[in-house]
Amino acid sequence: MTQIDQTGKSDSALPPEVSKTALSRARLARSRRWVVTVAIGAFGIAGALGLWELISARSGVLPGPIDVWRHIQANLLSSPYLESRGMSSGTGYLGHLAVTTRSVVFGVGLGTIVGATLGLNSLRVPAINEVVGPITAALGSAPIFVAAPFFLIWFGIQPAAQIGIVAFYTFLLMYVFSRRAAQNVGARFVESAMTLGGSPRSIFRWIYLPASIPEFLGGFRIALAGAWGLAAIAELLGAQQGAGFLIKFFASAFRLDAMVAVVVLIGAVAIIFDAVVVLVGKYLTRWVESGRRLGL
Amino acid sequence: MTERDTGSAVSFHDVECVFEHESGRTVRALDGVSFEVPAGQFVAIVGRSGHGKSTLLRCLAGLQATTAGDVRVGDRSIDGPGPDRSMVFQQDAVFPWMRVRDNVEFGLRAQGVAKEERNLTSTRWLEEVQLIDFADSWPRELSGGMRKRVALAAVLAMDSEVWLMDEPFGSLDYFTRRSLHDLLLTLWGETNKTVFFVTHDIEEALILADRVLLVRDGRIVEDLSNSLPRPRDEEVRASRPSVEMTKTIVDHLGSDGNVTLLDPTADGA
Repeated sequence: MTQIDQTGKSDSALPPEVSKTALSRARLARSRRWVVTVAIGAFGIAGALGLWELISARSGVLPGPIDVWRHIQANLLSSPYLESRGMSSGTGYLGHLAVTTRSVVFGVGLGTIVGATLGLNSLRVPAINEVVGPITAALGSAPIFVAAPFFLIWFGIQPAAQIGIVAFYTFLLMYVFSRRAAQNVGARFVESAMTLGGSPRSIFRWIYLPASIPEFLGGFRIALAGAWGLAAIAELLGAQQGAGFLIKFFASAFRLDAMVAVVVLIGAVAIIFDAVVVLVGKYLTRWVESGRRLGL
Repeated sequence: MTERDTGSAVSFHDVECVFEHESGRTVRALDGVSFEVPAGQFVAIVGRSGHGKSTLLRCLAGLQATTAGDVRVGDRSIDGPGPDRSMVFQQDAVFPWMRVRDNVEFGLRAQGVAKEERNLTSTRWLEEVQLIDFADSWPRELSGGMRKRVALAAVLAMDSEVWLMDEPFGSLDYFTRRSLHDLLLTLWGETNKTVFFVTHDIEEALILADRVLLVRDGRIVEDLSNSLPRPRDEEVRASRPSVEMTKTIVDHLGSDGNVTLLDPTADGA
């Protein structure tokens, strides 16, 4: 055999003729585009807040953003208002948000693991889809919210009911998305892997799994976004903690500013989670041609 | 294992492949195909679209089950795909989610080869296909011709005895294709593997192969040996023997109910 030299490492995949200035110019253009995007986004948010303030000033019923912000500041870490109403001391709104977040994280986590495992394997093992397929077909089209009371009856205690309903909803969605993702893996990739000596296990690990990521992420974002609302509704129906519980509590006390504050907070948490998913997802799909990144 | 051991690298014995469509209609894609190929030979399989040349290759790859007959590699009947017969596909089948080096190492990794050894092997073949500077690139950053070279390196890394090529360069421009022909012939010369190269391009078959099998209606209608001197540049291709081979191939494959220049009775299709 010919001798092997160790020049395998190369710093850059760019051909030498691409000049440094052209590169920095491209980078500058990209950062300029980023600034414009952020500016437009900020402008939109400011506009929405202004509109909100205007409406609240006119209506007199809806609390404005400034009132809501003050209320959040006063009650986030520990809430004198809650304590004054005889609620358990020591936890502000943040503690309740953490309870809802826990339901979402565990529910989405559990549902994703089970749903994706079954979905990705459902092509290889037809029995999976024979069992799960009809369930997703029947329940996937029914509004999941109507299932919430059943979960409360089955599980009763918090947080099992909340986690259960989120997990169930996530499972249905992730099963369908993962199965479709596996179906869309090009046959040529699987066949190519087979002629290169890939075992069923290595083909699952190195072909099906990574190839499914873009579609999987699209489903995951939908599941996560829906999970916040679902967890809150499950809390509304019967819980002693959580964002949904707070909303119900404040509704009975006619504290609109507090209700809106909780809605804003849960929305903010959801946005942060989504941003993290997008960031991680962008990294995981950095191999996809930029025009074709599904769901991100 | 068998008394039929002929010492050939690949052999087909009365191979038949029948597809049944959902409508119940059956299509005989391969019909009584028999041939033997000695180790190290470069065989082109030439035919028109839909006449069974890809099916023949897929049967050899083990991606398509035969309905009768026997496909042998060495002295062993094949039964499913394996790394002794790696394939380069017509479509782009380089894994886009793996960097170039990981693509080349896929087969080795699947077989549990240790990282250092994988690295040595992939480095060697990436150098051979002149992509070592792109080892850490994503396939999307490469041109179509470069991706074909990645696919070649992945096959080379497996050290497969038989290379299967299903119109691998069909989508490339003329000059890229010519340079890949040169590369493929160089690699073949260095490794002495057996190559099956499916193409509908007569020019390509005559430039590359020692032997040309003509496939028509699922049968091998002619088995030509191609002894044109190498390298087969434009001059050789314009020579009289070369033009005559082209004419023979056209005679065997070209006549059709519609384009009856040669022998109107030869075909019922």
